[in-house]
Amino acid sequence: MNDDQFFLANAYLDGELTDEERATAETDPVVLAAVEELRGLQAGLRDVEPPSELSRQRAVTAALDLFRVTASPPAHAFAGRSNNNQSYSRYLGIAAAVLAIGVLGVFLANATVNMGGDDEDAAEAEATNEVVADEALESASRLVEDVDAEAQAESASASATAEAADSVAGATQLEAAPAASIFAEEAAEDSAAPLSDSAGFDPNGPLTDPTQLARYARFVQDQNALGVGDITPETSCVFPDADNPDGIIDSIGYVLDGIEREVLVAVDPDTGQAFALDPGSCQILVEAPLP
Amino acid sequence: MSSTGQTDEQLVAAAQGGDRAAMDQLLRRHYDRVHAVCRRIAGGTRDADDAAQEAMIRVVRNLDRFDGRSAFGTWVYRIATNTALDELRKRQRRPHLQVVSGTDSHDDRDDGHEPSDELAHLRIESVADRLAIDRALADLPEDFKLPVVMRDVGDLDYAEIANALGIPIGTVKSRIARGRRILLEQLGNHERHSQRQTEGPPNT
Repeated sequence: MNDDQFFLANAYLDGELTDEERATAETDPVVLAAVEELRGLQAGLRDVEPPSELSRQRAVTAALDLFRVTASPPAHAFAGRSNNNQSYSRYLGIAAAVLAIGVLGVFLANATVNMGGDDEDAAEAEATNEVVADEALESASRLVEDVDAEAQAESASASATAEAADSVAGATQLEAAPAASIFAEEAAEDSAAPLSDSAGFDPNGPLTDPTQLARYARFVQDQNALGVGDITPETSCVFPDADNPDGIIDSIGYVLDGIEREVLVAVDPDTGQAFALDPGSCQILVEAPLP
Repeated sequence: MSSTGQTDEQLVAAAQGGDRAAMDQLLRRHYDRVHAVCRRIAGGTRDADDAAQEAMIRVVRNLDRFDGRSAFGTWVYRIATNTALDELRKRQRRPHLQVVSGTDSHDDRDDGHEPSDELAHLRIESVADRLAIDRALADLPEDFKLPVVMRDVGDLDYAEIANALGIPIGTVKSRIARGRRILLEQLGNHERHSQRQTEGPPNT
């Protein structure tokens, strides 16, 4: 068999011939014999040991985990993320309440100082303070409104929290002006920088390094301690042991090797370590000491 | 939404819209072929498992960029090829461990046992054939191996292979033909070697 015949047989097998070339090939027994030999080779190449069900399942699960993070519209976002938005709105709500308390404290402190002056100055100062207080309350309110639309229900709850805190502030401002001033400073600090920056991570995820993981784990722990934490995600992973109530505490996106994926966040209170676990295999992907 | 019986195009559209069931169906539909491509390029089952999983992840990560200009399967097998190549190169950078003895060395299996039945004999033949093909492919230079695997296992046509590898169609055509010829020659040697072993040493 010459090279032309062999090339013809290859192209015949691959369906890359014109009608005329095919007709030529089919009249040449040498070419047809080569085609049969090539078919045998092709069958051999395709005869690969099938993948195990375990590897298939593992691959599909890993890919779908990523799909949940990257391709889902907001309504389909995974539970951990949705919960995190709730946490975020609570965080903002609390910050708004603190801001309101602080500003009212400043307002009260100024009013108290002005009580010693003449009536005209006092009236002017009071008017200025009212404007400042109104603006501050408005910014506090705006802060709450900044929460994502999907977390609106939770925002309403946060606003209610802010209002409740406001009432408490109203009741205490007459006797706690210095404390209110401290709150005001803290509120000013809080409002000066984005919450995510001051916390060292974005509560909506994704986390990007072990330090963020540790800080986020501490944040969730603190929230849980205050009774405003997330709902612990449903998972078959048990960490570090079945009796430990602090094991798996949340799920969130985490960028690992350039790929964002969902991880379970866990804490081992005995060792003071925070962990990111693979939700499918429960393997530890990242760990870091709690701050 | 039930995704059973839908075409790839329909499933891709649904998956691009966030339909997880559609994505699941697509991944499962193509996994075996992806694994086969990875197996033939990467060489070992474990490497193929890793590469196939990474390929599935890359498919998801890049799904938004799939514009439908080629068939979804073609696009997926191209990703599988590249991923398997990455896996192969990664493995080549790892230090090699020599198997001194043990059960993993199937290559020159000759344990003296006669096959107990015809089926067992066929199974052993099939394993031997697969191993022979593995060996022949492992020896085949990458320039020939990739087009042959993409064509014979991934089912890509010449134009798709040319596009994927960035070489002219004529080059694809000749590399496939030459690659197959080398494989046939090596397998022919294997065949003759097996035949000699079956017949035993010549009488002197």
